[in-house]
Amino acid sequence: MSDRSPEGPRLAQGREHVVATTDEIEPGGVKIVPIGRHGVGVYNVHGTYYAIANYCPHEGGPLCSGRPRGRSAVDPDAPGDAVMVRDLEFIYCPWHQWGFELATGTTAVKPEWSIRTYPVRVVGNEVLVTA
Amino acid sequence: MTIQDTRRPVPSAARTPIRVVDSDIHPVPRAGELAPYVPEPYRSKYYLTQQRGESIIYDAPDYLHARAMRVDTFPKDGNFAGSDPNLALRQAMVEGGSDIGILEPGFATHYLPEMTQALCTGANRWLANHWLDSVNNWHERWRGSICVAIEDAPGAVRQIEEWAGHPYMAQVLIRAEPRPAWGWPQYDPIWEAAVRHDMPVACHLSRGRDDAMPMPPVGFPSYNHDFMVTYSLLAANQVMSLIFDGVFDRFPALRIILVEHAFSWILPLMWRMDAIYAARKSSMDIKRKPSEYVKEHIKFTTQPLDYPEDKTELTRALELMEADKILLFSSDYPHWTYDDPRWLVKHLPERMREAVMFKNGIETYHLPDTVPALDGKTLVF
Repeated sequence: MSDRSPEGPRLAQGREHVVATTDEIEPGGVKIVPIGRHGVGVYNVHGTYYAIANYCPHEGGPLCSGRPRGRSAVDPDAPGDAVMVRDLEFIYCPWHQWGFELATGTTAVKPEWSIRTYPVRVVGNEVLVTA
Repeated sequence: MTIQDTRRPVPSAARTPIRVVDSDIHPVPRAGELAPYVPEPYRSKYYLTQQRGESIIYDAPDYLHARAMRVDTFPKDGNFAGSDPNLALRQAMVEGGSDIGILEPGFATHYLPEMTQALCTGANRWLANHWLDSVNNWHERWRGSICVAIEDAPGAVRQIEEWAGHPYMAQVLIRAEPRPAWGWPQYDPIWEAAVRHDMPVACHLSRGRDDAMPMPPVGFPSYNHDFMVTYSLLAANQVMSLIFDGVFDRFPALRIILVEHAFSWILPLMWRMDAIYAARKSSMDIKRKPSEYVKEHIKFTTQPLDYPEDKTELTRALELMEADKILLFSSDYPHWTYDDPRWLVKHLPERMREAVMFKNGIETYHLPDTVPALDGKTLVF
């Protein structure tokens, strides 16, 4: 469980921010930083960092309070004919479980919709997000 | 140094108008909290001894993790979603923006009527002591349901008599699965007691045990998702029985609320019932057009809201069924089917918003116009 809005004062929008040190967000973890109206979630997926808006376009849920995991894929040899692939690369909204790909912001639920994604780069041990 | 007792919040002296009444919030007992309230012998002989595995027929996404709940509603103490009144207050009221929450505990219909009544008896005592008490309802925003097993009419009436005087009990709560249908005279004492105390009777969808699984006309569906759709059939059956079996003629002040059964189906059902009435009126005892009974006596909750891709078609349907007369807003917090009031209100024609979001609720549950103000609460519309 996490709060709907990030703590602390809001950062100015539309510029590059140092949001964390690399060891601050463990693989599979997230840090929600107070940028914009709903905050921005910064994810570490197996060492690659992604940033998305903490807002679900479906009903406005706090997207980054959801669970990152993979997506299901058909595998006739597996029990239940399905396996999970690409673990942690998707975020699932805590309210209605709409899933979005962290890297692209796209969703299979309603392909014409997507979430905001933001550029992230790592300089030394610092994580920088432009949002 | 001053020592301040911060454990018990003091209600704000300022009051705020009620703008959103949420007709469906689910409180859940913490582990071990309910059992002491369930009367013997069913506490020991049935509920505490019958070990049942979960009947996993639920296909909600990521079920083993999310348990068909909003995953942000599980409290930090490890108990289930909906078990912490303060977290529910923060999420459904402060953040969500509702002003009144009608609490509907879950209870399943069990094999023997007395078993279900024992569970309801426990649920009523538990709700009064753990949600509607002065510690947890200091903000005066929770309203409770008197849970009753309709299949045991004398026991149900005893529960209504015991709790109707409670200042925060707002409605009687029943289930739709027990047979026969609600129009049969064996239920009349329940309708009579509800009318005498001027309380609406709400029915929330459920899934009873054993024979009380809600069975559609051609048998049990293959999957959970088609099973969920069949709840509308069950509600439609009960609406027809209430009207054609004359319940509203016997109890002109009876008010029924159908919670979470969807509602778009009521428009064609009203047309169908009115057509039959026009053709066969001479052989019927009922006094008015069926659609008039619906609009005067029955309310439906907004969640789940169904709509086609083109939402202007939803607007037309709401106009045709006169939704401002028959709908009550509901969120279904903390379930994963939660509808945020700010999202829901956008779907209502502007002239219907006040009726559906709070006016019908205030009238239905006899609520005050205002509640103590809460700091930082979301204004929905």
